[in-house]
Amino acid sequence: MTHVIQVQQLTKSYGPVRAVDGLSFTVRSGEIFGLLGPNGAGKTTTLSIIEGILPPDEGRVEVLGLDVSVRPREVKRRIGVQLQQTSLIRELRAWEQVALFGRLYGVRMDRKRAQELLARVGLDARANAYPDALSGGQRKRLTLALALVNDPDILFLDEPTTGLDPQARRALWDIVRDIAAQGRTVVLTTHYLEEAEALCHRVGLMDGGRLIALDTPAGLIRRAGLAAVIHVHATTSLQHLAHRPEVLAIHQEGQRFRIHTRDVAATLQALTRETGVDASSIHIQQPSLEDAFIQLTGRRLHA
Amino acid sequence: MNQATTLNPARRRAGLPSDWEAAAAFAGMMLRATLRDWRTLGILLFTPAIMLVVFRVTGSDDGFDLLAFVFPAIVAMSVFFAGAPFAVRIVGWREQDVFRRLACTPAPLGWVVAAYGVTFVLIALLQSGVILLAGRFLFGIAGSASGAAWAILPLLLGAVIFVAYGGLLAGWVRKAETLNLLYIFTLFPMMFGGEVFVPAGNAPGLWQTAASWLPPALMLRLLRPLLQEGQWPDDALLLLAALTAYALLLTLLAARRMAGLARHEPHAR
Repeated sequence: MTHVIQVQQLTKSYGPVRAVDGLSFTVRSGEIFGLLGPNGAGKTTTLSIIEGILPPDEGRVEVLGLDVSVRPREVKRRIGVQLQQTSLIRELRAWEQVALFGRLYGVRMDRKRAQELLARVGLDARANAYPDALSGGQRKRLTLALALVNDPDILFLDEPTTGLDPQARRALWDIVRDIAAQGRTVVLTTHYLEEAEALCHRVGLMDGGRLIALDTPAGLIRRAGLAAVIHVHATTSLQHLAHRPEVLAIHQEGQRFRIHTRDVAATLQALTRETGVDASSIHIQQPSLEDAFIQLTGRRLHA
Repeated sequence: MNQATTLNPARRRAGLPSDWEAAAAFAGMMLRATLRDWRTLGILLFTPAIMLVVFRVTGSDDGFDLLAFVFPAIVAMSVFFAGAPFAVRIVGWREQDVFRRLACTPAPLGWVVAAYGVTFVLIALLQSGVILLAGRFLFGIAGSASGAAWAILPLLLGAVIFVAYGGLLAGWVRKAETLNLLYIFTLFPMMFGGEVFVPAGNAPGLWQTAASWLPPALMLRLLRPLLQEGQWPDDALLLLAALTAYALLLTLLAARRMAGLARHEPHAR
């Protein structure tokens, strides 16, 4: 497996605050890799160092085999960056922004080519609009077009959907999936758990500048050792199921039961076979990435 | 370390843009954008245009042609104020994270900012030219055509000085309102002490001496004889040398400050 990013023992402090604390991880070619964590976890600082716009205090970063601190311009030429803030030049129309950024990357881009790129992010109809006339979602898509202007091998998206409504967020997810499907590696930061679950092949959980865990979303949930919860309505007691090896606990409130289990299938089988409860009254709650985050960090993501 | 992936080998053969190419592309695009912003250009031209009208109406007195005296200063006004809109835009860039976004490209940020400054120099010269033509053809102000052509030199040096001055202020001040006030409150004493619009006879002697060696007075000491008589003053070389020194010093200071911003601003979060 080819690694396109290798981060080794990265450290960065702002005065007394250690924003990144001994971070090490790798990103594989073609994957959507997410850095997930609360505000102040060090995600943006980490991304800035990898993008070559912020020098680390210690540690080493290689992007596409290039040492970022030694060859930052070459790295910048081969990556695309979308910042958290939209950062657009207010005096330029949408297509002009694309054309100008193309020239900054040495890409000759006339109006036609700029418009084609805008079409890829569904913004060709707004090519003549100034940034102030665009909605939040459209501005995000324009910044995504700017990140694609140099046909990058790796795309960095910093909180790409923050501030967007659910519809615009899902539309942007589709664009990101489409970009990844073309063989590009995507690295994104987010504090939306559902975004990480929906988009990312692997997720690094960050907290306090450290990497708490790194795995697939399902792997993180497994690693946290979290149980699924079966909600069931029953007229008879279900306490005898507590003796089953996969069942962790049973809570009862009147005729409503919550069964915490490590093996949903086995418990369900026992539940329907041994107690004869109505299957239509059963509701299964699988553990989420948020549950895993709480389990692994001891606190909620959106405290 | 594993080998890097190359998804688009054809593109890899394309070289990086040279610093000049990136800067020229940026300046060209921003110049076009500024020139089509008729409202802003109109506002910038409004003050010198209204001054032409006011001084024409107030006319001459006791053989002293007030309009002829102030006309070179009105021509230079666009240059005096060129640094303010540049500085305000730079402050806006800092607020809106544009610096950080530009720093993500392979183009050197210092060159890009300098290119942006050049667009304001060109706009100031264009505005001065418009006022010069309006004065000559609409208000009938007499003067030398060759002198007007030579006037481009002190105007150019002045534009570089004031745009660099604006850039320097923008490197330190974070609010547009504060920046505008600071620009005006430092420019006006220079102008009034340096006999730009009115004779400085009532100003304190020490201030007159100091102001006469500040950029507005230096420019006017060159522009008045050029625009009125079509001749360079006797001390033209000294005055041009002083303006060049200001231009170099302020550009150097602004560039150093901008370079500092380029290093620190992208990640001041």
